[in-house]
Amino acid sequence: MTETAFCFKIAGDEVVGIIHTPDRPTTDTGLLIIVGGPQYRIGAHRQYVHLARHCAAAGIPVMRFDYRGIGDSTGHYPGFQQVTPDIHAAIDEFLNRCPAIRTVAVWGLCEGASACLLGTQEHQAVSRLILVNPWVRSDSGEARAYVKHYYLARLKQPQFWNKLFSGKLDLGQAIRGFLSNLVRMFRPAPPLSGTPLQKPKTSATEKTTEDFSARMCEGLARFSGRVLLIQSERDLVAREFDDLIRRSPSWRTLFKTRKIDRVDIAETDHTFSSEKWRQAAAETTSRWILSE
Amino acid sequence: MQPFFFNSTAGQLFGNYFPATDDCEAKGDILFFPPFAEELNRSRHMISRQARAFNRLGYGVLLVDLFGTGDSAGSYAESSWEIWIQDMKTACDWLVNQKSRPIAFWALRSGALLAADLVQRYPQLACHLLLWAPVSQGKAFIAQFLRIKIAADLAETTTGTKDGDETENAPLGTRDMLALLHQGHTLEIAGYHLPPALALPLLEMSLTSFALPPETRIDWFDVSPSHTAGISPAARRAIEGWHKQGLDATAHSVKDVQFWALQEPEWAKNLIEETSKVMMEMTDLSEVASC
Repeated sequence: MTETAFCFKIAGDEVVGIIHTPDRPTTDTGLLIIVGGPQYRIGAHRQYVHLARHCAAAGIPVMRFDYRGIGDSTGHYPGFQQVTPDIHAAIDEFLNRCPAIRTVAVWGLCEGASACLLGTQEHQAVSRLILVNPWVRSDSGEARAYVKHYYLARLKQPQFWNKLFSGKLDLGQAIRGFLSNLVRMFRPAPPLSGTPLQKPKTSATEKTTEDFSARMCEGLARFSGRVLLIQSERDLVAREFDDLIRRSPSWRTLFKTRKIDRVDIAETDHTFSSEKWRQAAAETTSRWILSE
Repeated sequence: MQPFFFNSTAGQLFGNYFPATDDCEAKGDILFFPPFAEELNRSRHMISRQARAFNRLGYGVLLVDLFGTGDSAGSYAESSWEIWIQDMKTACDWLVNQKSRPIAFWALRSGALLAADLVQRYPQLACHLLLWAPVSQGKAFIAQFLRIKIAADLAETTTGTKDGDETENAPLGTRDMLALLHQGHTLEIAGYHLPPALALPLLEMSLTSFALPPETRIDWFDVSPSHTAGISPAARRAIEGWHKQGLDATAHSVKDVQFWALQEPEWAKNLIEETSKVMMEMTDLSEVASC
């Protein structure tokens, strides 16, 4: 495997890209790893570096890069709902630098997965999407996921009842938390204010349009390539997406009517923060790309 | 910027050179010493922004990822303090080969210990240290890193995501983990491997115990979001220690966000201003002809 570092331009800003070229390519599909939220191209605990090297070792050419305003780049991070120009510029750069690549698979975690369906998929070279713990957060959805997957799960645990009867549980606090989440479940979303932020926007600070998950659904419906969904077992973001594809008629219909491959990775948290989980996600990715 | 890969002792390293933007004669180069683990991922936007601020003052900046970190080859599990020292020496050699001279070492957090250790071993390399929120005691720093694992284990048991009986799966304490390191075991913490070859040397390190040449100048930048923080006790102790050794050391207290610890990236503009000001004064001191 050879690794190459280079600069390229996105809308006048300078960003860094890294390409991992396999010694013996086994596919003409390249893998573009896009980052989730305002991380830079290495990812939390270097997971994108590990993922890229694993896939390149399996014969898949891989590219990683920084969005504008992230990592080593100049400019301002546009926020995950507006990174399509960044991702399309990266796809073009990838194709230019690796003429043997005919199509591109895009791998996105969290907001990166959301970005995959908010414009990324419209580039004609994109043949596959790998959506990992897609971010569809709304306040009510988060509260619902919490009530369903945290509180209800707690009631099934012997430790919870042991704690309750031994007096170690702050019952008042537990009930208050539960009630406040119940209230949030049914509260309407706040209206969107259109003021652009000057610092990097993040999932926590970026104002999302209430319909961004609906736009993701439309984006997925318009995409004719193959799709893999990877979900972490111990992740509220993943649970919230699961709830959405069960509850929302449009998502439900979409998942019923078209083939979407799905792999759940047991025990893992949101970012696969252990070698065995990271490896499982990488293995899942390379195998799926190489499958016809 | 000019990103590139170059060879070091254990494998290929990633470097990114930010050339001076000034049209006047280059004033020399600044070499950056990176922080540890997730602190690098969380700080990169600030590091490159400061690099560009130095560029505007006429300084080139070289950012290097240590072996097993960032975009460089290898993994944390395969790293060691000695490899990292050699990596930074290789980075200095690269600058010298470019007909440049490193005039300052700029470090964030635990990078300060790496910079001081390198200067102790090769006193001729640089005589100015710019230290951003430096780690002064390796032992406290490692203990803090181990606490991430303790907190994660605790969260797993209290939220019940860990199966089985709590008493049987009691999370490891700091002492247990230190014992494992001393027995030669590598620990996995928040997705990073911490091998004994990194942890054990760090445990013994104290920033002021490195022997620095008498002409060394040190600028220590304390960063705190509170108005009244002033100079931290750690900084005061370190500065006093260096003064006793006859070194020119100054502490700067900056009111700003501790970006290396934040989940969501924020800009620490005051820190960049304050750091740039110090380098501007250096330029005045050395009476470099202005353009």
